This record gives sequence, C-alpha cells and structure tokens, in this order.
Amino acid sequence: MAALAMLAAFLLELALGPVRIPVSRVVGLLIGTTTSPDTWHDIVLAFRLPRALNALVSGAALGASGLLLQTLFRNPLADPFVLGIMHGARLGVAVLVVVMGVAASALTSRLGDAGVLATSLAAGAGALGVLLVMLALARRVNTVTLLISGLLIGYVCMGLISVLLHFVDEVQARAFEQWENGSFDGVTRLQLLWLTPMTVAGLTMLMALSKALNGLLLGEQYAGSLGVHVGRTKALAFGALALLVGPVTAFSGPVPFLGLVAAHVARGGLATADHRLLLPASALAGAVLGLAADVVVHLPWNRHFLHLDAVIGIIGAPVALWVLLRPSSRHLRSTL
Amino acid sequence: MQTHVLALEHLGAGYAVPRQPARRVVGPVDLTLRAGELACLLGPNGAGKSTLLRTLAGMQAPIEGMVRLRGENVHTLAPRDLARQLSVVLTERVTAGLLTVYELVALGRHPYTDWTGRLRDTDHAIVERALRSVGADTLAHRLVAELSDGERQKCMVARALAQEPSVMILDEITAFLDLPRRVEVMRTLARLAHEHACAILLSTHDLELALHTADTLWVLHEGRILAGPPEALVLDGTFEAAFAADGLEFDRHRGAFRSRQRGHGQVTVFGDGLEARWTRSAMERLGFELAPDAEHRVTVMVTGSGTAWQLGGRFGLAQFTSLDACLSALQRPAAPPDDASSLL
Repeated sequence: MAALAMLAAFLLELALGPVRIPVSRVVGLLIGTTTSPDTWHDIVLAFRLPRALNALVSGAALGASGLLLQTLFRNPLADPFVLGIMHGARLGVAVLVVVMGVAASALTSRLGDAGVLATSLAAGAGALGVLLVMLALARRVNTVTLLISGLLIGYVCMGLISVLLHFVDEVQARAFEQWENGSFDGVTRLQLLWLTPMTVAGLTMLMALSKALNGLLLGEQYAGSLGVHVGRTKALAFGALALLVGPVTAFSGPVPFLGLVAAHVARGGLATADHRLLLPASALAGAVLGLAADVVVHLPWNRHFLHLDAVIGIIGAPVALWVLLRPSSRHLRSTL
Repeated sequence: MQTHVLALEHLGAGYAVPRQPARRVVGPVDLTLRAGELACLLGPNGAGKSTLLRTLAGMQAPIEGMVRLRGENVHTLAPRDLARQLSVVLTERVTAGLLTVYELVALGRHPYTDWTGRLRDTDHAIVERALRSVGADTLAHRLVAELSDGERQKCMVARALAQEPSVMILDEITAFLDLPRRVEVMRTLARLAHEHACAILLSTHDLELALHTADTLWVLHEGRILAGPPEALVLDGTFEAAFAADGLEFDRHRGAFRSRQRGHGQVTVFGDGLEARWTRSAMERLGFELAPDAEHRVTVMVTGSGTAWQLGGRFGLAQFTSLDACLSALQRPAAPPDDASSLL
C-alpha cells in the first residue's frame, strides 16, 4: 500500500504544476511510448523528473536517518534537523565554499563530478562534526536538554555560516542564502547520480546494522551485554548518517521534520520496534512524504508559492504533537 | 563436586581519575562462584557494589587482577562469546516504546542468532521457556512500557535467562519493589540458579531477605569482601561489623536488625507463643530492654476467653485485655522522667 502511495505521489509530482499534464501522458513519456509536445517532454523529463527523484531519494534518506537518530539517542524527537546535524552539514559546505572561493552551485557546475563529490563530503563532514558534539552531550544531559542543545548548535552553525559568507563576494553569498530554505528544486542530473548511490549505500549499511540497532533499544550497556559491539555499531551508524544527511543537505538544503515524521509514521503504522521492518518502512514513508510535500509545494498556487519547510511543518508539527500527547507516551512525558 | 564458573583473582575494582592513579574501591579480592549458587552481594550505600558488579560483567576494566569465566579472562573475551556465558540485569530503566515483552526476551537470543537476528524454532522455544520460568508467560504480548516495576524486572530476568548464561549478574533489581514482590523475585532467582545450574550474583539492600534466601553472602566492608554461608557470617559477627550504625543493631538470635533506642528501663515478659513473642517485640520497639529479672514484669496469659496482659512491678498490679492498653499503661509512668531529662 505504501508502495502504491509512493507511485501515486510520484506520478502526481510529474503531472501537477503550473502546466497540468494528464497522468496517462506522463506514464507514456516515462516509458517513451507516446509522442507529446516538446514542451511537455521537457517539463516532465528535464524539470519534474529530477525533482521527483530528488524528493523520493532525499525523503528516503531523511526518513531512515530520523529513525536511526531516535534509536541512537534514545530520544523520540530526534531528527537530522532538530539535532542541528543539517546545520552542521551546511556549515561544512560554507567552509568549503569559502576555502575554494566559489559558491556551491558554481563549484558544482565548474568542477563537475569533483565538485559534487567535494560538496557532499564537506556536508557529510559537517554533519559528522555536529553528531560527535551531540554524542558527547548525550552522555551528560537528559532528553529535553539534548533537544535544546541541538537547537543551539544549529544556531551556532547558522551564525558561523553568516560570518563565513562575509568572506565571499556578494553574488555567491546571495546564491548561498537562497539555499537556506530547503527545496527539492534545481537538482542537477549529476547531483542525482551521486545522491542516489550514496543514499543506497547508507541505507544498506543501516540494514546490515539493524540487529545491533534492535539491541541498542535497551541502551548501550544492555546492548553490550548482548554481544553488540557498541562502539563499532555507532561508528558505522554515524558514517551511514553522514552519507544520508550530507548529500541531501548539500543539494536540497535543510529539510526540517521529514525524518521525525517519517519515523513515527512507520512506527505507528507497523506498531513494532524492530529495525529490520522499521528502517525500510521509514525510508518508504520518508519518500512518500517528500513527494507529497513537494506536490503540495508545486500545486499551481495563484498568489504566491509555498516553501517546502512550511508544508512539512504543517504535516510535521501535528505529528510531533501527537507523538508527545498520545496516552502511550506517558513514560516519555514524565522524563521531559 | 564443586565447579567454579566465575573466579575473581586478586581483583581490584575502581575507577580512573584524570591525572591521578586509579581509585580502588574494592579489592584486591580472591573469590569464586559455583554453578547453581545464588550469591548476594551486600554492603552499605557507596561501598562499591555496582563498581564491582560492572567489573565482573566485563563492562568496566579492572584496576588489577583478573576475572575468569570458565577459565577465560572476561575482559578479553569477544562480546558475543561473553554474552553467551554471562548476562546482566541492571538498575537502568528500559523505556523502549512499542517493544513487546516477547521481543524483549527474544533479544536475549542475540548472541546466538545470525547477522539478520532471525529466530529459529529452538530460539523461540528457549524464549518461551524463559518466560515461563519467571512466571511472565501471560505478559508475552504486552508492551514493556506498560508494565509495572515488578513485571518489568521479571521480564528483564527472563531476557537474561534466554541468553542461557552460566553466570547471571543482577544489580539492585529489587530496589523498587514492595516486600511480597521482592520475596517472589528472590525465590525465583534461587530456584533458577538451582534448576539451570547457573551462578547468580545479585547486589541488594535487603539484608534479611538475603540472609534467608542466598546460598552465599558476599559482604562488602571497607573494600574487603567477607564471603561465606549466611549463617556463618552471622555467627562470626561479620554482619554486625559491616552494618553497625548509629541506632541500629543486629540481633543474632532473630537474624534481623532492630533500631536501638534510648532505654526506658528493663522489662521481663513471661509467657509463650505468638502473643508473648509480639509483646516482646512491642517492648523493644518502645525502647525497653528485655531482661530476666527486671523492674517491670509483663505476664501474657492466653485463656479460653482471650488473651490478658498482667502488668506488675513498682506500680502495683494491673490487668489489661488488649496489648494496646497494656503498652499505654507501661509508658505512662515511665515517660515523665525521661521527657523531663530530655527537656532539661
């Protein structure tokens, strides 16, 4: 059913927009059976298809990341945005931009593969940096303090980004600022070619770790006593997170709440804590949510256009509230 | 025949302090645990019980010496190999939402399953047997988050049992339970140790319960461990020495601690049976010392029509039909001088 939802959202994403194209023609264009006007061909294949693929892959990456962070930090409100990891990734890219003296998008177009790879790596490194800070904090603080710390670290990163942008010229700084709002638009074919394998690699790593992650549900001490290599598992999980969050943030900017919501939708839908089921389910839920949110963003709004943040916020905040307020979260609320 | 499963060889436990030599809390000690033995680790708060247990379980490196599990060094065994031999139950509360009791106990099979964690038929059978062993089979489909403290501890024990360990280490698991639940958990553990030929070591604050249930006591006192059968430790005064504290003394005759209060004087209680036993207990609670030939005499008489308490001594004779009335009468004349002196 979830797969059908994903397919439907994917086709809607391709069909809807300022120019409306019938779904049957979209399918035809994708398979290459029907001939359509050149404009439709361009709109679907050159503009909407990369965007849809980006929403799908990025959504899956963020969904799995949200679940992983919630397990690693034993915190049901953890997600790459909330914990400041995406801001860390952006800071990584900002540092790269300043060092190279060119804006992220310019870098990509000028240097091709090397540029895309460098941006992804810089973002991944930034994400890892914040992760390590959060890890050190998580040992000392409770659930709520950790979330506040994530918020603060996010602000610190944003502040540092602003400071760094003083060192690049105005045009590049403006290009960078546009990227402050998360969006699945404008991704290049080259970026997709890097994003997809990195996401697949990250998800595969997590699936291989799912048994250990189940052990970590009981906390690190119990996991260790069950024979889980806790240190190794965390190192690998962090590596996977860098692969999943880094490129997504580098290409689409900070996409808030998607990981949080996807993980809870998967958990609520399957009513299980087993990562062998939850990881693919969260990835799938993330993909559907990413596509659905992007469909809403690109509906032909008359007066203005919506930000992706806003749409995910409208869906995400109620879900987060529901997680906190439902009766079975009593134990969670008492720790807050 | 005695088979040692766990051996502490000149073991020192403690923790590292930055820029200083490691601080030793316990040891060096040489001790062993046998298969099928239930041992209770007793000691005052802050004596280092948890540090010692964590060191034994391989969760913390020793400061000196070695812990051997069936001859192998616990701290160099691979985690998976260690997990097949040793399981733990900790004070830490498990709050895994959406995890059912069955899934929780099945996590105990982790060291035996392949990388996917898939349970084979034998694993399922072991999980079910573990649940039955602790009387938690009816809880199998409940969520762990919804259990009471007592139920959750039982399930954590079942999970530890599903690891099929030769040594099980439990830290303060009875701390949050009421008395009937504590007795139940201790009895279950004693039975499990004997049935599964597994050595069980648990730390507890419950001295009296430990005294009556454990095969062996480890009494942690000023960094040393005095080990032996509970009765031997009572007889040689180890118990008294370790837990001596202001206002508390250990009664070797009754095997229990009682609070020591300022003396109200001495009293002799005549009579047998349950009524006389509890009358003596009441006297002690009120601060009277039981003596053979005292100024106050209480005679407990059980007749067909009921129980009567006869109070004799300096104040003449009086008879009461309830213990309550007898105690009030006894306290009335004794109270004024005592209160007066404390006021001055």
